Amino acid sequence: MRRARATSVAAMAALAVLLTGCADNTPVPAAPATATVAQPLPDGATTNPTPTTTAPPPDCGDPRASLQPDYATPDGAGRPSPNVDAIRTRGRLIVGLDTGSNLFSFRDPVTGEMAGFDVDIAREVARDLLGDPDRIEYRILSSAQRLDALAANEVDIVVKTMTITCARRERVDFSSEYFRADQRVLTVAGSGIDGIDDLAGRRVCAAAGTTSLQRIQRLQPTAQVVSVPSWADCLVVLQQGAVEAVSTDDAILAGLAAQDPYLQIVGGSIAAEPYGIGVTKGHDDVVRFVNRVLERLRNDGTWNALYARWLSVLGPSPGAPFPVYGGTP
Amino acid sequence: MLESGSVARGSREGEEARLTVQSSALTLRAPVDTRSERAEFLRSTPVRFLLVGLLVVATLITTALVTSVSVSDRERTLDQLLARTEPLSDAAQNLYVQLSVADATAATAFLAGGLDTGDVRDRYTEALGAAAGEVVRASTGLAAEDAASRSLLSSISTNLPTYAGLIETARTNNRVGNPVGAAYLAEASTLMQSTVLPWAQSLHSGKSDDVSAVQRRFATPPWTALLFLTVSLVVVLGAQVYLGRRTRRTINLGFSAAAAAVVLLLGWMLVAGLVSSTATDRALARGAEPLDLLTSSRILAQQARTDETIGMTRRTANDDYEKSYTESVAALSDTLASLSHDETTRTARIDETRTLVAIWSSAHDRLNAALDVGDFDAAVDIATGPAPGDAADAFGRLDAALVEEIDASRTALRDNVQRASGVLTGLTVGAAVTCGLAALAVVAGMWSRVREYL
Repeated sequence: MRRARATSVAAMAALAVLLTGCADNTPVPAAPATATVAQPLPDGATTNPTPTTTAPPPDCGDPRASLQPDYATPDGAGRPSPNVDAIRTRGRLIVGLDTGSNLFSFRDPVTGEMAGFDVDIAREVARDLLGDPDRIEYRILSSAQRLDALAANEVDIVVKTMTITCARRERVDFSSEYFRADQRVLTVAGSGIDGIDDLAGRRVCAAAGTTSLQRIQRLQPTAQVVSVPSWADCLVVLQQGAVEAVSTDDAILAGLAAQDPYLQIVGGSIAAEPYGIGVTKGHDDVVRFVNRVLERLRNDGTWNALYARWLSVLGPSPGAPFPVYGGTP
Repeated sequence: MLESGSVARGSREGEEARLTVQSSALTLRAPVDTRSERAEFLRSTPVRFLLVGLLVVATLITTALVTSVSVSDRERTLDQLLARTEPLSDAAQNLYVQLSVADATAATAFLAGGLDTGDVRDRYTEALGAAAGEVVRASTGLAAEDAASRSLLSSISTNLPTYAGLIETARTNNRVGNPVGAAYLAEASTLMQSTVLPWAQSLHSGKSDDVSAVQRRFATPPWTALLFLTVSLVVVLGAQVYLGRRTRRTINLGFSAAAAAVVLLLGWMLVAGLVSSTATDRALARGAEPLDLLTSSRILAQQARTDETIGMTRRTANDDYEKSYTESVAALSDTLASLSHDETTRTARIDETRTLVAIWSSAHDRLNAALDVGDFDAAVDIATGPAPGDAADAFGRLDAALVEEIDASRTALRDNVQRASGVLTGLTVGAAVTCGLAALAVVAGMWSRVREYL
């Protein structure tokens, strides 16, 4: 009997231990959890994108050769212009550009409006086409989207620091040259980089889908190229130390350097970059119309006024590039 | 009466039994085959009684252990659900929303251009601060062994200062007139949308699954405990019958008391267990399940709103943001419709949220129409302006209604879980004490029988 009672007492004690013991079993403190620290990068940034072209660029003679400007006869009996008429019917000119190319096209932080040299050129086109420079709708394009947007007819014209090349001429048409830039290198003062020759093995930023990117890859195959959607993103990664230099047209580099006193443009011209206004392939009437607008800007002093307004940081005006016309008159 | 009548018979039998014991004690002393001796000893009546007594006591103690452990496990897990799991799930949901609000507000500030207004700035600061607070609230609810959630929370917390730094860099650049501010804003938004928010979403879905899992586990009555109690009752009554046949006494006071105690406990367990499981089931049907859909709705609405505002700041040629907006709003409408079609979850406020989604969608269509004719300013007005019926107003009212509905579901969930846990109060100790007393009664009842042989 005593044994039975002892058993039951022991069982009750075990029960008590079990009930209270479960509640306060303090676990061994866990090791500090591993936290992922994300290196912030612009949306769509990639390192060492595969070279877009390995084949030598196609030869089309002088790529700058554009169609003759369209001067409508006083009685209005000009060439048929279905695409220009379509824009006039719509009442707005749809212009593709981006918000990240300071001095050429950017969103003015104070007013929230689009502004810059390219924006003013587009406004002059709208002024001549629709009688009002404000009748414009902007579509924001990254450099890589420019050709596709024109091919898909999503925009009427692209005014976005776009270099005229034979390769691009296979997909779109260009106006006559409206600006001449030179590719150079932007870096932090004291970085020891003095030009394209010093970029071997270094991290360099360029916008995707640009001639600048292709040229860096061709001239400095060992450079680690970080490609981003817009040139403003290059300034961001340069300021964050993710790259050591940016290489593109001096006009764009000047726009980046204007926002950071520690940056300087180094080295001589790597290559000339003639800018043209991109037009959907086959829209010859639009090309001729735009060329007529550009002729007016060159001749009535507007071009020089725009240069003085936006690009005086590059030095005194070199004058508008001389247009080259070829092919059918 | 019965007891006294059977005493004479019983004592006569006891006399015989005592003689048997004495004779076997005598034979024990004689040097004969010990194995058959032991078998003889085990077959003797008092030893049999002892073994039966031991069996009954062991059954009762096992039952005490099983019922106490099962009830206390249920009670403790439900209490933990109230104290930790559910608040953690709520914190995770709020964390997602606040992060998303911060990002959408930062984008709105840039949309209008010029200096950001104090109002918008305050909303950003509040949302980011609230998000940081939710990280702390969520971390206190985290189980020590939940390494995956801890790592998610740490990652969110680690990247919040980076995000805030990028936003401030964007602001400073804007303030000094550098267009690069917009690029910093885009980078911050990319960090939030493609890295931090997915972490918050996976934390939230994991935690809300935890809440439902606990409730599903306890939405059934405590079958094991009830089974053990029934077995105990059968054993006690069986022993009583066996004893009654061997001693010709139908009733043994100790065994009767033990049987009564077990019946009492069985009744208690049955009532409390059923009430508790029904309350848990209701917490699941009226709380956790609608809550899950409602928090998903709030997150979908927030995603759509972010796509709407950020899409306008980017104004890209391809319609990625518009597509994403359309998908989110479609999913949102479906979720709200399913809540509205279910009779247990349908409320007037849910019908109101459906109306608000319709108002918002029509405002969004007007916004797109304004963009299609190139009227960016009008579109910004519709997107961010305070006019009633515009996107900002409709979204604000929708979010407020969802928050109220979420609160109502949380209350339903917490009240029912509270009831499910409260009804079990005292049952753990009660089960142990009742079984213990029953065991003592069995021992006492057995002792009075065995004593007659000594």
